[in-house]
Amino acid sequence: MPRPADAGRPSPGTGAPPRPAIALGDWPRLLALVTEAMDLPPSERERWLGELDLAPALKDALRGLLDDRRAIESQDFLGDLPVMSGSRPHGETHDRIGPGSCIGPWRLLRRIGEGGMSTVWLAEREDGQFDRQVALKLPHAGPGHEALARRLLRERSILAGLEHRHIARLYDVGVTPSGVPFLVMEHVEGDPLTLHADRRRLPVAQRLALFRQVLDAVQYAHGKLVLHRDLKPQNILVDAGGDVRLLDFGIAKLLSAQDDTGDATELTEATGRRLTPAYASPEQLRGEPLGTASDIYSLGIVLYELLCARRPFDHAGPTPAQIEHAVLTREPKPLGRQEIAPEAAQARATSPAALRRTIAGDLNAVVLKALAREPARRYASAEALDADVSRWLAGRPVAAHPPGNAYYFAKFVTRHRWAVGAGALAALALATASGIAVMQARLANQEAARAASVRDFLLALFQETDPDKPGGQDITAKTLLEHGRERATQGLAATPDLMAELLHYIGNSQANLSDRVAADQTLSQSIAAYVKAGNPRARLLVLLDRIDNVLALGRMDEAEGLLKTAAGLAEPFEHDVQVMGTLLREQAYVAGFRHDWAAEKAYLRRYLALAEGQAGIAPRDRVEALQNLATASARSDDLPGALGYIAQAFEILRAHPEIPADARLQVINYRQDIDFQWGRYAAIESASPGEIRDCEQRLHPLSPLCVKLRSRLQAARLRLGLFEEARALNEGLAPMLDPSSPRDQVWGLSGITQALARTGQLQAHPESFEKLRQIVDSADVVALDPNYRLRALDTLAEARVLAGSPDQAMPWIARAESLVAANRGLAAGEVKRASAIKGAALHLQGRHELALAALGTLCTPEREPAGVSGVQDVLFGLNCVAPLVASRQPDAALALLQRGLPTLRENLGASSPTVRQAQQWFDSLRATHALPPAPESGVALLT
Amino acid sequence: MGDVTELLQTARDGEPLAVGRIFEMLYPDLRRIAHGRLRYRDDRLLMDTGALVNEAYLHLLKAERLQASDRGHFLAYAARVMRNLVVDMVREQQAERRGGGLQSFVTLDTVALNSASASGGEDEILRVHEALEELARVDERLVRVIEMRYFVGLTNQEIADSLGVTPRTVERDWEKARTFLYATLGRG
Repeated sequence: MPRPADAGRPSPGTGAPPRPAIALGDWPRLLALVTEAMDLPPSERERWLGELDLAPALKDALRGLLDDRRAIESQDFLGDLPVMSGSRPHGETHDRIGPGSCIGPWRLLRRIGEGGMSTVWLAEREDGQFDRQVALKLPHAGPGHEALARRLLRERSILAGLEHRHIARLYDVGVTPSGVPFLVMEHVEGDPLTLHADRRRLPVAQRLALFRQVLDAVQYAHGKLVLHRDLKPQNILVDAGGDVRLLDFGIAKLLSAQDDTGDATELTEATGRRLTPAYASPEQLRGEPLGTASDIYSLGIVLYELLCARRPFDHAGPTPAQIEHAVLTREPKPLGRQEIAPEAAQARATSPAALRRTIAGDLNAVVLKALAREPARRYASAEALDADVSRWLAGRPVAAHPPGNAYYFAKFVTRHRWAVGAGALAALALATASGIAVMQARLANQEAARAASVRDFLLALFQETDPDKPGGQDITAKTLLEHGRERATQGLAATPDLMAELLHYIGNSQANLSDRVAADQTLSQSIAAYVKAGNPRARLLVLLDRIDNVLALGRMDEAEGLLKTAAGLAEPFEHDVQVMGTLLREQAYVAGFRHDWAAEKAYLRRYLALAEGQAGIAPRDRVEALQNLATASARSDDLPGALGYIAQAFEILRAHPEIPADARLQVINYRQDIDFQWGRYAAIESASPGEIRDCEQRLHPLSPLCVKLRSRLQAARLRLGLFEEARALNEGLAPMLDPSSPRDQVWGLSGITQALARTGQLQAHPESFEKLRQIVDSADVVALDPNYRLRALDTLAEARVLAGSPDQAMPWIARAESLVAANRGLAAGEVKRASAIKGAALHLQGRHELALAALGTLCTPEREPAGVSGVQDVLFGLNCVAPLVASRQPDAALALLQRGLPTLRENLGASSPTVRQAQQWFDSLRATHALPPAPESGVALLT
Repeated sequence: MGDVTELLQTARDGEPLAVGRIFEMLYPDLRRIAHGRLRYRDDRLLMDTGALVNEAYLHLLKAERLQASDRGHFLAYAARVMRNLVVDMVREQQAERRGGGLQSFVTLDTVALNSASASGGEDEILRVHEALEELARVDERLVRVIEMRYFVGLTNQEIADSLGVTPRTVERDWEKARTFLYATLGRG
């Protein structure tokens, strides 16, 4: 029981003898009786008391209470809150502060907000020194002003240094003469993120776009080692311009009532317990030290709310204690199982069912990863979270791994609309550890552009590793495919038909990933299985795919042999469109590799004729046929024909919007190939960077198609003389260097080496050069297509010439010459390149006449530059200029240049370094009959 | 529908009060009111608490579109919060003075007072607060009435509306509560 006060107010009962305490159980009756008594006139009370049937002790107590009434009423007991004995604490004058009050140099205009720890005022500079209005944050009254002021001043420079488009600036920290600290911040007018989105009924994608702005800001601040610690929609405003502005970055901590070392939650509940700030991370609730992961958690809650209008632990209970317990111990409710209120769906411009479909699945995985209880399991950075959001927006699978696998399938199917054979999938269910939903799937012909999606499919299929174990996330597609193949061959031996189908699938995927050696093995196994299953048609189709792969491996003779077998096996299927079509396709390919353009075109035309109006051949396949026809035409000097086929291909794409976007990229690839063959390098330089970016976004930066585009752009830049820019593409060519595809490897290494040599970097980075040398010196180089062998030799020779060591180039030049002599039908371009290099080497050695002999007809063109090799010939011909001048034939050099410059200008652009150099030579020769002094490298070699 | 309204509806349906959520939203207003509610020796201005509570309510009204019937619930909660806020503030200030924390805030006048003895006003508040815990075991509604009238300063009519009883009942409750508290505070 509380003791009476000693001073101040007169306390009750000081004059009377102490009365016995009243038992709790008696109070209700006594209070009721007091009420009754108070209704009676005082004269009646004594009689009423006498008649009352009450125990004597209680009657005494009642009398005592009735006596108290007099004092209660005369004192107006509890009539008002008592006056405090001290003075009103300084800080509390804040509550007396109003518009017009001055805090330091700032005049308050109006209150614009209230936080748990402070009030925010709109203010302006009293002396007019700063013409903008600011937000002035005034901490609430309470102890610790001095410590707060100290902390604020200490952190001022860090916080004021946060300059970012999406972060509201902290202009300054001030302290009034009475020691009250305050913050001067940029005044941002706008709605909180969630309100803004609801008001405008923003659909999910646009909400995510806004959220990415938040992530950008958070990443920036984290980079400067500033945590926010209080991320919530009220601190994330969207201004009139639609820009996100984050408020109070890093300030929450400073304003908390704890001392410097603690990270306290702010609010105190009425019952004295700590409140659960709705966006606090588990470590925040536990009062542990915080890191960037804590902000990520809060962002996760914001994202959750942005998506479905609820928070993940709302269901745990109405009291903060229950919610806090849930945050610390339980899993958040998955988005897919969250109840979607009709208003919530409306605010996202969709229906509840559609919204649930959208946010369940991958977005759920992203959010749950951000909300992992263990900080280490969340996204490592805002940037990582942003990457996944970006992937989701692009329709690609995200990195976040949910516990189960089933959703991967749903995602895959939605994205690619493939139909998987029910039988095969049932078998897969047996073959893999986890239960998998059955879908429809149809094997489509392989295309490089599908590589990424196939890989993703198989990633999902065989995802057995625990994403939390080290290395669990690094499993490569190749390993998974291998794994898949093993499982298929082991688990499905009893059903060869299904096994063969699956192996066909896997084999094509491996080929698409350039794992061609493995692909060969897999496809052979598939063929064997189909033989066993007694399915000649399927077997033939697999064989044709295998031929394609063998060609890519450079085993030309083997491919041709297999093709003969295939043609024989195809006889019973002569009316089968799919079979015949695929056969014709392969025959065209082989003809192309043999450089038999006429045969190639003939096959392709037959293929197209077959495709016309035939339901059996998909529009996509027709597009592919047209691509090949275009290339074939271009090679046989029919540029208008080539461009015509390309135009037809684009037509089909337009007419069939269901064809995936990567088909368009493939056609672009072919068009660029034609551009390159015709020397239109300027066109490539201008269009390609954008197309590469498009490719990277739609597919994957590592997909073979994007790599091909980069390779070609690099080659164009080398011709244009943009050497540094060419070198910049070296990294992007890394995927080509896969040893399982020797052609790709040689091509990639050549490009890289050339770029390094041209920028004088070869000595510093000799790896690619060494690798090329290894390849040409190895015993089985003879298995490699001679065109590629020639390319490698040319590159090695050229590197030495560019380094000013023509003697070292000679051995390779000699080998190149014998190669050319021994092989007919080598690509003309590469052969001419060899001549140019030889000429340059000889010229450097001072043997100008021999140089001119080596260059041959390049120096004496018989007609105007025209046709597919026109531009190239002019370029190579430029190597004649120096030897001509050196052998005292400046007029011939002049004539050569005069003839060639217009072509160069037209196709390379007047600003290209190559053209400018040629122009320089021309001008110099015309004026002085001499060349300008050579640059440091001493070599003008154009290849 | 605003969060508060939803929460209040939940409360009305008999579920445990969604106190926490409301606190988050109302806390700044209530804190401000509690500050203003405490009166000091050197105050020349006395604030009209009822007006302040109304202001807070209006603020909410604008933000959340509360229905009139919710006001009653709101006031009951606000009063409970207010009680604890006031008690917290008083305790803080007491601790400060005892611990000699921020000397700069104590004027010469009060030094004498402090050295003399405990401060009457603060004591009464704290003791009433403790006694209410006892009273709660007798009759909860009496506690509500004290909170709303003593700590917040609402009128009988407002209290009646909030608790869903007649002003006459509030009056009776007020007297009962006072009787109990006077006896409790006065006893040894």
